[in-house]
Amino acid sequence: MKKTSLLSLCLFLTLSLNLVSQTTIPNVLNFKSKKQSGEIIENNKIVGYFVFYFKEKTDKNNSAYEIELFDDNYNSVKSFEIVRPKKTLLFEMVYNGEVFLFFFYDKKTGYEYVTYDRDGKQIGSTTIAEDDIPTFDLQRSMTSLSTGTENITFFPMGKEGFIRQSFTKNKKLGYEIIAYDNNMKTLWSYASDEASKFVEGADIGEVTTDVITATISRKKNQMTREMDLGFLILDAKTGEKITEVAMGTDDTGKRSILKTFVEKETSKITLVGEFYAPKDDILKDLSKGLFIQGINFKGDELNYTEYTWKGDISTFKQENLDEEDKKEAGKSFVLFFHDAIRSKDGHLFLVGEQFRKQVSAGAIAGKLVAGALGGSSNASNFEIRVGNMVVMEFDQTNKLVDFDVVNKKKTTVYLQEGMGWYGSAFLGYYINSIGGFDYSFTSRDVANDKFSVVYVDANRREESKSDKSDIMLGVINVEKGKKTTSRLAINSDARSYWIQPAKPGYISIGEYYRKEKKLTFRLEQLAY
Amino acid sequence: MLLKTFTSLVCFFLYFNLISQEFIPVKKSISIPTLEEYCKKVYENSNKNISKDYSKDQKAFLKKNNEERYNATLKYIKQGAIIDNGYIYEKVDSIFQLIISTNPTLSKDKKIYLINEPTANAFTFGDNVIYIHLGLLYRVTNIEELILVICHEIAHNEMQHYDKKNIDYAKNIINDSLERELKKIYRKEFGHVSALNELFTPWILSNKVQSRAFENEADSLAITYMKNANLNLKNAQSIYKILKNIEKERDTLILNLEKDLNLPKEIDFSKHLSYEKGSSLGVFTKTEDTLKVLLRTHPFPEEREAKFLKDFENSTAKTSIESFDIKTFKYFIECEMVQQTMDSKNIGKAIFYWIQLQKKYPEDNYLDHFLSYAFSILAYEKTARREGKVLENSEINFDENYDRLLYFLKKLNPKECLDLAKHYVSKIDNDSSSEFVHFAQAVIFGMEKDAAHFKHISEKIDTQENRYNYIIKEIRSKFE
Repeated sequence: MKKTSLLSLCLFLTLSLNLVSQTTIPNVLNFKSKKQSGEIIENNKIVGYFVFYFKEKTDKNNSAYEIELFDDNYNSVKSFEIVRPKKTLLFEMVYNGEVFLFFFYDKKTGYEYVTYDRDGKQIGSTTIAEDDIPTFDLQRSMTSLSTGTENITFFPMGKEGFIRQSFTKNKKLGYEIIAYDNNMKTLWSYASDEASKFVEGADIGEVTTDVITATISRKKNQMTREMDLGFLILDAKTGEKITEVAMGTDDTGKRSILKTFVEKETSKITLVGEFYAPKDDILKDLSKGLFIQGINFKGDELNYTEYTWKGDISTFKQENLDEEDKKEAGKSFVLFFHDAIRSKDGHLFLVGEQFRKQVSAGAIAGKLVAGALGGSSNASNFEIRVGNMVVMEFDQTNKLVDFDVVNKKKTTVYLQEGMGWYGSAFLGYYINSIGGFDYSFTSRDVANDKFSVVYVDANRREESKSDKSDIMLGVINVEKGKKTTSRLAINSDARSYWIQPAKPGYISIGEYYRKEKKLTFRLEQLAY
Repeated sequence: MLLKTFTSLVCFFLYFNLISQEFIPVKKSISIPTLEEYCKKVYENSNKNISKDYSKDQKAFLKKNNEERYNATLKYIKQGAIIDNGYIYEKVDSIFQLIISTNPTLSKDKKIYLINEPTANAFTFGDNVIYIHLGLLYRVTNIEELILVICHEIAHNEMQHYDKKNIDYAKNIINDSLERELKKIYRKEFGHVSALNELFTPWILSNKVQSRAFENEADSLAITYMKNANLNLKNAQSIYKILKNIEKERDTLILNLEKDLNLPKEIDFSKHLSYEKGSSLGVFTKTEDTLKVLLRTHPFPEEREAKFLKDFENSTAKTSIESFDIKTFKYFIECEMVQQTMDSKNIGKAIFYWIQLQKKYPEDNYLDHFLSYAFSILAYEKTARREGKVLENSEINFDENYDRLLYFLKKLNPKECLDLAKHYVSKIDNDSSSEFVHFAQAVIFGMEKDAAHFKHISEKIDTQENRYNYIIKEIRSKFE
């Protein structure tokens, strides 16, 4: 007899009722703890959602939790109970088409990576004791609690296993890339040199069943902002290093990597990033332009093209500028790139957002007022002005064919005291880390060649005289290599509402009705 | 050509032979103040009649329960879900009155109301009021089935099953020994849910046994009422087949949406008509839950049917209700289901019901007008990014026809919906005074920013009665 508790059965009945036209979860007293839920992603596409919630303490040290899986239409398809240490946190959930990997953390017992098959049966697990977890690794893993859809430390490797990027406890911090099979048995591990004089980190770009690519950063110490980058290619089957391509030097100028694409059919890797002047630093100085580099799986260069900001890119005339943009045309913006999209016809679209550091009149005035009143303000004298979205399009021969500014309302991000002295490049990463940009997410359907970049536009009016909507979203659609832009107004009759990524071409709108104590999710199309 | 004309004539003849009246949707409830007042009185009396023998906690529980019962009725009233007028209601009420009048043991102060819910259900709170869901009326195939349902609910009411369940709960669950057990559980550091399950499982299971016994009792008494009415009710047996099929309602014949929705040939819908079946996460194996059977509130329909046949064996009743026009009654219910599901903002389901109905009555005016209305609203809601509020998400468990329709409706863009609305309007006589057509025209003019025509046509719409009146208001505000 299946052990189903009656009370939990009642709970299931009330948890996921697919009522008239939207998924309604009644009896929700509050919705503050949204952390332990997220998207199920397969081949870069949202295919479902999961929730992980506490049920009861089972003994002195353990608690029972429920894991419920929903498909991309919010239909509950499976739920199963697991027993874990009582203060378990779920850091990540990764699906590889075959098994679900749950990355748990408990302060006392450390990390545990557990895989479950589609019936909810545990099929493997690996533990890392608390003392063996490098501090940096814990910090990076914890960011998964607050970030969106991207993989943080675990990546699916085909249907056969997973790859994890980690840190080592070398004399100076190092990195390790580990492959696991679906039973969480270690297949191989590749780590930085224990005797390295540098602080080294790895940031996985792409994982395929042939190769694994990662950006390697090297710094003399933790505090310096001067760093060198390398592009590492590993054999996915053995974990052996195929090569590491240096991303420039002080003498030739350094290069940063924004995105990599591994093309299995042609055994080619495309690297897209920014290049810098000789002696310039990636985090301190502004780049001179963009580059696209093609290499084979051995690391041999196949092609390399640079596009300078002043010259190649500035020649594209902007016709979409409004009055406000024209006024600000003299003050140059810097670009922060959020994503790169490769359509099936070989065109490459880089999606960025303008930003600029400027003197904050408000902060200075605030300081004067605070000073006059005998107090103080910790606001910086500088602020970040976030501008328009930018889409750059390259054809299959890597020729820059379009540089399009997508107009949106400018917003301001106030900086804390001391932040103003950092360079624009570093501030871009900082603003991104605190969610200061308007970019929200990119919805991908690689198989159908459809991509939608979603951002929030602070101009909430559809037309100049129309009423303000609750949220105005900007959407940059790339379908079969053709780019279109649109704006869509979202209105809600609920007091609390929010948007979140959904299946390709859709956005999910969460609405909480406080009086009725109900939480609803509905899907709306991004573009028709 | 001759054959075509002949077939049309036969269809025309059959149609008017079948349906004796033109469908008129039900209006807002008229006796609501009386019902509200009545329920309030029942609530107050129930509280007064709570026996002094109960403990303080038991009394509090029973009072709370009375309040919940009262609030449940108020909720239906507030939602505008209660139907107390119109052709369907009058027919159901006439049957109800017949049962009351032929059973002298039944008091005359009973009332029956219909509830605008698409599910197959009927219930009573034991306060002399019987509620029948529209969805149940939609599924009955003959008048005898409906009589059996009404008699069954009256039997529940007469045997005070609702109150008995509550009293049983109050006695068994709210008592000192149980209170002590609960305290013990809460004092424990862990295992609360499991301990509560262990404590309550026997009671919950015995409660379900009792519930199934009540159903059997109500079935038996219902047959007595039917016998007293001297009605030939052999046909009622088929209600159990309906109950059996409710959980597995599936279509075997796949609809041809292109034909069934009369899609215009000038627009290519082929892309939208392709259909991908299945969930994004694939199929999961389902584990059979053995408790499910024990947790049933009702006996299996097969058992009930066997019992019905046994109880009814010796009946000599022969009277049939010949005057009851079941065909018109069913037609009204089916139309009302289209209307009510549309009103409850489930456009996909409303169009689905419409297709089923259109197949039966291809020449019907009401049905002709409906599609222009539905598609104009869908066009507007898609533009306003409220599609998710009026179209259900596709689901693997839906029957394939409905899922296919949802898939198609989701794929349509606002312009295509508007084009369809225009297409359906163009098929209708220009002089039509249908509210549906006026509404569709108003939305079309509104979306095409034709202020003058919008103003002219929107004045003809009774926005008080229409659940989508906010669309007209929104368009109007854009022109101001």
